[in-house]
Amino acid sequence: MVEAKMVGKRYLGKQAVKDVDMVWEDGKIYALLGPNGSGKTTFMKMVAGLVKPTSGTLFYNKEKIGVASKKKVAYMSTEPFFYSYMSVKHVGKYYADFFEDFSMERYEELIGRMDLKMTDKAKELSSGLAAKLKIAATLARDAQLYMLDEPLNGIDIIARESVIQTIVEAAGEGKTIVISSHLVDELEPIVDSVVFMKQGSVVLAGDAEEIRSERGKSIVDLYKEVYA
Amino acid sequence: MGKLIKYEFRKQLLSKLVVGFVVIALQILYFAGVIFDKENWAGMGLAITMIVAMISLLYFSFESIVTYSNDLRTKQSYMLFLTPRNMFQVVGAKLITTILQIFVCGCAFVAIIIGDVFLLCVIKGDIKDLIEVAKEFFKMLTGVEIRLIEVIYVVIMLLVAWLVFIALAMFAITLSTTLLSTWKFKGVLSVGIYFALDWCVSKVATLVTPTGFLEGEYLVVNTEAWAFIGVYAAALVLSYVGTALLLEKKVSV
Repeated sequence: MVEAKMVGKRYLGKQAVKDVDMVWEDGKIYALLGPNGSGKTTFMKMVAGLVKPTSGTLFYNKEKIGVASKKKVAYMSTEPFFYSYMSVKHVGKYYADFFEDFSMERYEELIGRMDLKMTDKAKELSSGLAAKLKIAATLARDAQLYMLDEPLNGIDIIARESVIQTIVEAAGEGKTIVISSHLVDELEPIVDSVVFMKQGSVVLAGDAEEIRSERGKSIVDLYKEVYA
Repeated sequence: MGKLIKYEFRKQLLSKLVVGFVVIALQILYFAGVIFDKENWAGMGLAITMIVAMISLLYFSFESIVTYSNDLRTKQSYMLFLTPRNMFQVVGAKLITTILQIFVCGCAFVAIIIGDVFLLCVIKGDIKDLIEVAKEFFKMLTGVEIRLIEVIYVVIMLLVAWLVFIALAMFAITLSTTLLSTWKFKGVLSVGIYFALDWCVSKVATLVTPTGFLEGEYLVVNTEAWAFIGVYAAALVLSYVGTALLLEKKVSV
């Protein structure tokens, strides 16, 4: 479980995340929604241990973010980040070397499903295939929490459904999945909870079904209303 | 830590391969010169190998610093900072990789150059005089007899001073990307921080050795000489701990 209390992050005079209180419970799929610059990525990076909060407290399973949490949390960034010399196979070996929960068998299966080859060079992949590689490497881990930042970016409309299906499959019992995306309509059918962020703050959060029935609107319509 | 070292080495492998190919080409030139009795070829092959050795070892040191800087400033940093490793291991792996690279490459260059000179002496029939010539050469340069303790001291001093150079540079880069990350001109700032820290270390080293350890122009390995190294060793440890702590507490990539 992730618990954030009054978490903030300030960069060069800009408040990227401001006083965020948030709880992510085990076993749920969350949609982290908001336009560019709303603080989604920064918040995810803080949970992943890539960014240190400048205020507030952030815990994963009652412990501060650190080495122990990194063993349980699988984060997929929106940007490509593999070393330039790496092939798809090298990426798998790297993950296998550093993450005890990584399964090479599962990785190979996902690579096959994503139309990638082990010999492909990571830096020469198209944006769609590069996104699929990041997804495969992340989901081949048997993590407790998966955070996927814009996983559908660059992926064509036909492949999106299969990618979403793969993500949902990863959500076994007790696993938490957090997906940030602009493509709300693609996520709406699969998410349990939603978090709307705007200018670094949480403006709306809760159970997706409850929000829909309380407001009488779909998440897609609410998204348009909040960010219009 | 072994896996971190493996990937640090892999990241910097290309430059070693390039240097390796250049040295092979130069050695082919050298051996062709020896075989076909072309002194110009052999001389050129050996001389350029020596120059390549010096430039390469300097370049490898700078490459370690540039790789570290890229690990903090580009998205490749995720590869390092997503892994469940504490920052003492991460920084330690970088320093150990740097030491190993320089040690292995340095030994390889020394072996190649000594081998070339040895071969030349064998062919020219001057093998018996080789060591004497080397000693005479050193004596001519320094005016003193070679003593083992002085050689050991100089080797340790060079190694520690060179490691402090790398560690201080890493600390300065870390400082500029963490505590001073909001400042303008971070890159220039990190260079300035490095020179300031280097000046401080040499000042402290001078202060703890008030009477010095030189007799005239010659080195004397006394207590102060070891205290001098001690100051640099302490600077190395402090830079390492400082860098790891800053990464642990403050890094945002």
